[in-house]
Amino acid sequence: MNIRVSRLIRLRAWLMAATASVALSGCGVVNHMIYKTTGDVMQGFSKSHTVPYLLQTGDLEMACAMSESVQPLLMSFGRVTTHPDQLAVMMSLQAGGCAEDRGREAELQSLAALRARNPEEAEDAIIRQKRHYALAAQRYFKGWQHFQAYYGDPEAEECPDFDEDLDEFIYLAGLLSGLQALNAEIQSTAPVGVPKNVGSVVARATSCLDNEKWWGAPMGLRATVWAMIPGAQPAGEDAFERLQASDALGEAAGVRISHVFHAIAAWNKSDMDQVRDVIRRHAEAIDKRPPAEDWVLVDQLATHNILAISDKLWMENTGHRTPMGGLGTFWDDEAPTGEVIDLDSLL
Amino acid sequence: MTHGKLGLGALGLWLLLGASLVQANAGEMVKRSFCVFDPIGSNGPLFNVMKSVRPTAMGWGVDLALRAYTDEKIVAEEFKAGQCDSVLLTGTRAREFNSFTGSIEALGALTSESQMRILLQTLAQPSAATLLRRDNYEVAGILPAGSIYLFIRDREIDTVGELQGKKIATLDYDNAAVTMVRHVGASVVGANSANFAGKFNNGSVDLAYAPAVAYTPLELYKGVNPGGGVYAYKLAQMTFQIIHHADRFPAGYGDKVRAHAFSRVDEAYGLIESAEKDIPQQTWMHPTEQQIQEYDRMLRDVRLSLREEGTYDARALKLMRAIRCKDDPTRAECAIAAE
Repeated sequence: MNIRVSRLIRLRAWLMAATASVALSGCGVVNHMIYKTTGDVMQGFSKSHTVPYLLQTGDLEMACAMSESVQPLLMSFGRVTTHPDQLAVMMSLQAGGCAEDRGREAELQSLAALRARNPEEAEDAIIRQKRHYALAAQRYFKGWQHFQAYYGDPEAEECPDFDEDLDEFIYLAGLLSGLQALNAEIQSTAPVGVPKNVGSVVARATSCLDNEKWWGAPMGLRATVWAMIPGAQPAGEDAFERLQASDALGEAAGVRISHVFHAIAAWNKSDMDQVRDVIRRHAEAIDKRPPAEDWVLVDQLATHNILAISDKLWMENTGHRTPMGGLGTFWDDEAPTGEVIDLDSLL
Repeated sequence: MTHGKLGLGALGLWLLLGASLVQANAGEMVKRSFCVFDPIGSNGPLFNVMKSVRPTAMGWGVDLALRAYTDEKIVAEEFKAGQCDSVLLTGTRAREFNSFTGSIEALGALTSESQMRILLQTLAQPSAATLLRRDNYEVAGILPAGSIYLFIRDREIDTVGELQGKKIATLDYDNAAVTMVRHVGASVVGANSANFAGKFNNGSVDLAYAPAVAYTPLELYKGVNPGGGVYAYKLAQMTFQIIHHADRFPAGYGDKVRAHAFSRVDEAYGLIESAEKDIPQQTWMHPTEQQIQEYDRMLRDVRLSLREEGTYDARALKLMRAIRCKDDPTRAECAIAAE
């Protein structure tokens, strides 16, 4: 009897082990066959279709909402297949931009409150602004880390071999992410952990990209760093001359992102006349020429940033942001003059 | 002498009138400029921190209009010419407006964060107000920027004797630094905050001195690597100081700004600490205990000579000696009262 019982127990144990092993191998099949395949498909589809599609659209708010909501899903495929670092660069840059936009909105509120001499409201808005910027810095920094994971450390390695244009574009987006991370951290006045030399690293890495092909953006980025970091500008160079030249390339290509770099560099030097010139130039350029078909989103992003700079100026000086259709105009512009009819004879 | 007294009397009356004029408008908002030195510009960290002060100042009746300057010499001149109502400068530049607070950066006078904190706490007392004011210039806030270290391209240079003939990037407007460099037999290579890092990194100079916060942003590791290091001896304590034309601000405003600045000291030390951690362990060069004592003595001699020639304020040196001795009563200098 005892022998039978012990045989039964052994049989049950063996059956349980066998069942568990089948179940586990089934789990492995799911993991390896279904999840991994889905992950690979999602990553491939996103890179081949979603990103190019998105770049041809002009709705920044929708792009922002998508990045914030879809990023965790896409990133989770990194658990079952290769890490989607390139997509992460794009998504982090976009999601950082969403947080930065909220930061800017809070800054406009603080400026309005200071104008209305309401210090408590201004203080609260500044705190909100800093919180948003701290989040933006974290997101941008994540983008920079994914950039390094995919392309390698630009200081330690040669320029990567790019297989296709999108690889180059994502490289540019990664550099932008690094610079934006540093800028957002400074704005937040909170320690986020962005390496303080990232500006100089980005500036050097821009030489991996063809400046003309990428609408003057690589040189624009480099010259902006020269204009901001003490001693960064090489002897014989002039950051603002370089920015002018980059602007011309961007205008000719219909992707006017260089204007943003130029305006930031001029703002940093407190050269408000130059800031206004760049804003006017941008407004004229978008009026004259539609954005390049494949890069509508990048051009929209440029206009969005130029508008944000214009809004800050308008808010400080008038208490409201740039009027509708008023990009490129300023509150103290002279009223237009033209021919008139003398009314004296009628009166 | 009589003329001097008359001058002082007239000045006192003028100040009194100035104060009463501002007080008469109490409750109203005055618009004042605040010129901020930030080596980066209006996107820089100093300017951004200072921007946050606007609502606080508004609560005290002052609407501050901030302007960023990347050239410290220009901002100091504009402040002196009255074009800026208040200014943020390094302690070295502040010396011409207040020799007492300008002496906080005196060579070897404060050797640790704890000593600096005692000093800031001491100067936050209302009784310190007279020390913080010279003529119409009032020091309305002091923020620490960390210890100043020597950055060396060649690790072999690890004693004072080896500094002989070496080129050191030196802020040439800083009489104390020029004296010190000459004292050790090195040669002065004129530099400023915008170009000293370039000179160090490209080898035009053998050494440079700076706070740790400059190490990563200005890429001083490029000059330090592969054969150099950062000498872990605290040469001085760098500060940023807010100074204003006292008669242009409401009575009591300086006290409030000082208290506010003092409340931000922990934040400043957080940044300094993280910058010092950014310098890799193997980069630091550590002096021996005996070397530290020798350097302490040497810097004291230099301080005393700079006191004699009027660069350093005697009262500031005396206070900082008291702080060093409070921090560590076993120091040899605490038995003699040379400062």
